[in-house]
Amino acid sequence: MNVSALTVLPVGVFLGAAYAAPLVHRWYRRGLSVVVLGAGFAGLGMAVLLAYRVATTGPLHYFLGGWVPPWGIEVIVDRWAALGLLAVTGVGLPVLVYALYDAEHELDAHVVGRYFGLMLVLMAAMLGVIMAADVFNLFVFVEISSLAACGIIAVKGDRTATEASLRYLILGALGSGALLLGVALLFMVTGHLNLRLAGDQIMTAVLEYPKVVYAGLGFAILGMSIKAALFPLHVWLPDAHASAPTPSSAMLSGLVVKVYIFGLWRLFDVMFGEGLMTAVSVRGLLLVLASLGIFGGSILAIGQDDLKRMLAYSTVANIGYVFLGLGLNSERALIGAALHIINHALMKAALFLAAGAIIHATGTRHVRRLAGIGLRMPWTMGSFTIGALAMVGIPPLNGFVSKWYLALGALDAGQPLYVIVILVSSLLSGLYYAPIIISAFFEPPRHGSEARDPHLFMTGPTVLLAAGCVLLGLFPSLLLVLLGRWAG
Amino acid sequence: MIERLAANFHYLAAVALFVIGFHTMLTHANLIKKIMGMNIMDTAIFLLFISSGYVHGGRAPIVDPGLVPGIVRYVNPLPSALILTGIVIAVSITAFALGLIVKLYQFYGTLDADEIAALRSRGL
Repeated sequence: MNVSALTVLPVGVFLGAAYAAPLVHRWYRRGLSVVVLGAGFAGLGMAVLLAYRVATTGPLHYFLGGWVPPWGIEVIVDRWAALGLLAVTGVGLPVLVYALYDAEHELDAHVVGRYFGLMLVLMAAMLGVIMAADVFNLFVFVEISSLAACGIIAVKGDRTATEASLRYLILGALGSGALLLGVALLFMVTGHLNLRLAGDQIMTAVLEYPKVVYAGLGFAILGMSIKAALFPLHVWLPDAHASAPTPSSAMLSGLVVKVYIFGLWRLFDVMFGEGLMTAVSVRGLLLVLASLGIFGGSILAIGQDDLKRMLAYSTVANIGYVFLGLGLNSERALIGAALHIINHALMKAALFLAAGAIIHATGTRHVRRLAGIGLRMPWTMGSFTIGALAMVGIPPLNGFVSKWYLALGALDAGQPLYVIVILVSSLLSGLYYAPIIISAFFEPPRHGSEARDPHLFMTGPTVLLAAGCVLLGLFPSLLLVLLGRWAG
Repeated sequence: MIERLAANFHYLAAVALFVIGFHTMLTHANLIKKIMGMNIMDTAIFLLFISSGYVHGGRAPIVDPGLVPGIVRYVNPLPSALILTGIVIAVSITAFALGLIVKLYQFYGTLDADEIAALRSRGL
């Protein structure tokens, strides 16, 4: 077992920067970007280093304060967690750069410092959720991330954002109540909070108190699913993601909902274990809900006029893909799900950042009023196009790779039906992205349109994320090395 | 059956509180009452968690070197410690939610969720 304190360091760096950001903004406004970008680059560097060490030497552990479980709190970075850390820091950094310039015109000047504080707290909490190996620690980080997520929506301060944030907060509180209830019930029968130790006890607990274990499992899964926006529980998502400031939308849609899936994944993998998971057919239910989500999200997205709402509904569909991989549970399906988490984070962040720039430049959120934008804003619309094509799953882009692995995983699991689900839903997503791209590039622009690509520091991150989509599409082996080495 | 229920009445109380809180949260249109319901629900979960650590006749878990180990029974301190964190989280959620509600009241002049939805659909 490799023990390394480096695992918890990124959480500390982001938390520290989060508290420094509002103070620095108040006393020395120009220092803000140094703090934010410093934390972003340091976090990314540490995530890359951690991923490299996980790929070469296996999972890393850390026991806080040197106390070994059952007394202490454990932190694990295994291959899935390493991928999650890369996704959060790698996608988070361009979003933060964009936010530094976007916040000036989208937010009141006096909230900017606090906004970055919340963004950095959110990133710290996401990293914490990904590497938690202790149910209560998981719960605490889930709560921090929910509160910070509501904060970065409400910071916009208009009616829709406030209302969406309140709805997200109340439903999120319902989810956290369910999660805590699940944790309480499971703790009562297993006597441990550490996932591994509780997992060792859970099969004996099932024999003795089957109903308590089933109730605990059900509540824990329900709580995490509300926060991860699994299909019928997604009602809070479209408003929340569409009304937030652009960088928040990219962060929420690209990363935050996925992080809860990592938490659920850890619960399935370590705590419930294969025995319990097959006994209660949670996976079968997940498959059904995931398929419904894939179709429901895509169909609802087709009906949207508002660009950001359309992207938000597309997130509901893409959460379905990740849950599909989790439900199929063959090795390749899990790799597909993990790849889709990072790939979707890249594409959706690129799409939201591009959409934010388009909305700012044209002053309209309506998807039918974007004629000719492609020629006026080539870099922004080019990135949007790459993101959209990756969403559909056109071959040299990264969306194809994760869908390919999911489809192979469905065949491995002996469920070829889900290959058809993936194919049909890809066509559906083509239905709502294609008209925007076609009208943006091939229709004459409206008269009097002064739209231009925004400032370099807003165009740059968008293009960078789109380039990431191409890069991971051409060289998926960069990530597969990490995922494949410690298979089984 | 009845005896087991009577012995574990704190769990019954937790379930009753949970249902009351959940019902309040779902059926009341008033936003403040929704938050109250949420708090009652959270309290129910805290009660359930804390009472699971209670040992009848147990002492506070401070180890006294004078006492013979193995004979003295201690209350499990872990649930209480955890719920302290849980309470802090519930308070922060409540504070934040109330802040948002104040803001919504300034926008719409009402605390009624249905009225706000109606005003919103009329585009106000």
